Amino acid sequence: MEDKTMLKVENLSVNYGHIEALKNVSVDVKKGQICSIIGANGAGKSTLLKTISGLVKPVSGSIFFEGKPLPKKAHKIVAEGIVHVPEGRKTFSGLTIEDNLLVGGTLADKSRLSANLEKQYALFPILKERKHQFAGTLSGGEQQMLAVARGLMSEPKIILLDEPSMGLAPLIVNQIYKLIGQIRDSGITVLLIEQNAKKALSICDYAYVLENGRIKLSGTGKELLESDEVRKAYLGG
Amino acid sequence: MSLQILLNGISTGAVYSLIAIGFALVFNILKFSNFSHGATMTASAFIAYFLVASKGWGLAPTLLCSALSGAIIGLIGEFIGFRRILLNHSAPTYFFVSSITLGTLYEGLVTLKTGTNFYVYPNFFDVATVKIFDAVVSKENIIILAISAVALIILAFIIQKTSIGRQIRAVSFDRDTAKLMGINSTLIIQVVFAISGFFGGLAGCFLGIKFTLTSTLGSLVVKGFIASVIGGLGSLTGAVIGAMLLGIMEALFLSLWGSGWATIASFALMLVFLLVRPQGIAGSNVQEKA
Repeated sequence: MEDKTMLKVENLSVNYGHIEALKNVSVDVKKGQICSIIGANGAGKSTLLKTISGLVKPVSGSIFFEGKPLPKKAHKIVAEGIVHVPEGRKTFSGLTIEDNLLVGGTLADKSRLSANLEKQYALFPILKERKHQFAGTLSGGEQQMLAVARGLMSEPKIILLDEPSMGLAPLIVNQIYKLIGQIRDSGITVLLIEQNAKKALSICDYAYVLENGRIKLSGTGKELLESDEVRKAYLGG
Repeated sequence: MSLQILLNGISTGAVYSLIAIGFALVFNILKFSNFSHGATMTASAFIAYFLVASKGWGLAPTLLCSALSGAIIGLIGEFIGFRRILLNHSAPTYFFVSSITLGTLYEGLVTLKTGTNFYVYPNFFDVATVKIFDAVVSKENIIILAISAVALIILAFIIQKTSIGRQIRAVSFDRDTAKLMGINSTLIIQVVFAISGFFGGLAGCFLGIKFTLTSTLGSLVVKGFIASVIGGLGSLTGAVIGAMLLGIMEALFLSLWGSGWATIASFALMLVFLLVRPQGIAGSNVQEKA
């Protein structure tokens, strides 16, 4: 397996007012891998993703993508090939499914737009059937698929997924995870944030445990699944 | 209702539509009512009067100058009045206060130049009326209706079918997520202010043609506001429907009871609407955005 760092987060600290959300967080995401970050509610997982994608500004620390520092503005970060699928799907409920996908492809090469659209429809047939419906009419699982498909429309090199299993039935969660595997196999690096530690650790190549804004542990998915500390805190004994 | 009243009503409604659309576009994207819109209309109409119409050029250059002035004023307003508030994630109240301040400023600047005098656009039409079936309609009303309709159709096409339109809708729904999709939200907000101002400029010029140019011309923005409340704040289709409804009602009331009662009736109509259907005609779509 290729062992090249794609995304490097170095000593990142983020504050919300007086609250320190992240303290000296360093994370390496290797190209072609699935990297997971697990942690409880409020551990700072979403903050980390939002800082990478430019929605939140760090107090200190730096983020490098393919060896270069990231641009400051969110839309320029997308142009570099980083796409963030936010927590809670955040599909544009009053736009049709097709328009949602097209918005995702805002920065992609116009000549490949319709080919990309077909690619997503092949991956998610349910979206094709309903392409002229408003996104708000979809079920939670379908909205999550739409959110992922919309992210893929930007032709990313790395996709950041924030709790894709949140609030979904186990069967749907399995579908989503199968899909995450497919995305990695298609050559797109995945940074996966989850509270569902068991699922995330079993699919990922490498993982970090985030607790109260600090990285507490890291290791391969297998190592962490077997670690006592993780088992006690996140896997229910 | 005679055809004549109906056509006059639709023509007035068309101007109200332009105002309401300008209002609704900004409301959609920043979630506040832009009270500087009226003064933007006044200022654009006067700029077109002094730069173009008073030099004897025709309707088209005057209209274009007014619309472009509106777009530029919109852009300036966005930059000095709203950009900082937006970047600081301040409360919507600040937008509101800032828009009132801007509006007062624009109106003050216009008053400096014009005082409280009345100005009249030169007569753009050699024939004052045209006959449609058995109705005699003023030619200006027909032209205003036609140009407004074309402008609204072009806007609808841009919003619904083009990439920039999709980006406007995406930013209106959820600015942060739109950024995550690679949309330059600052640029899109600028585009929206320019379009809103453009429509305000068109409306200002038309109001100047229909009535007279005064520094308080912009107070007619209230009609656009009523229209967009009736239609459902933030809904573009609703704004046009509300404006048409308001225009036709006013023309009808005017023919029945005269101008004093017509104004009162249109405000009463808005109050009834707020009581019965506060979300407006096309309200369902807007609520989930709030």
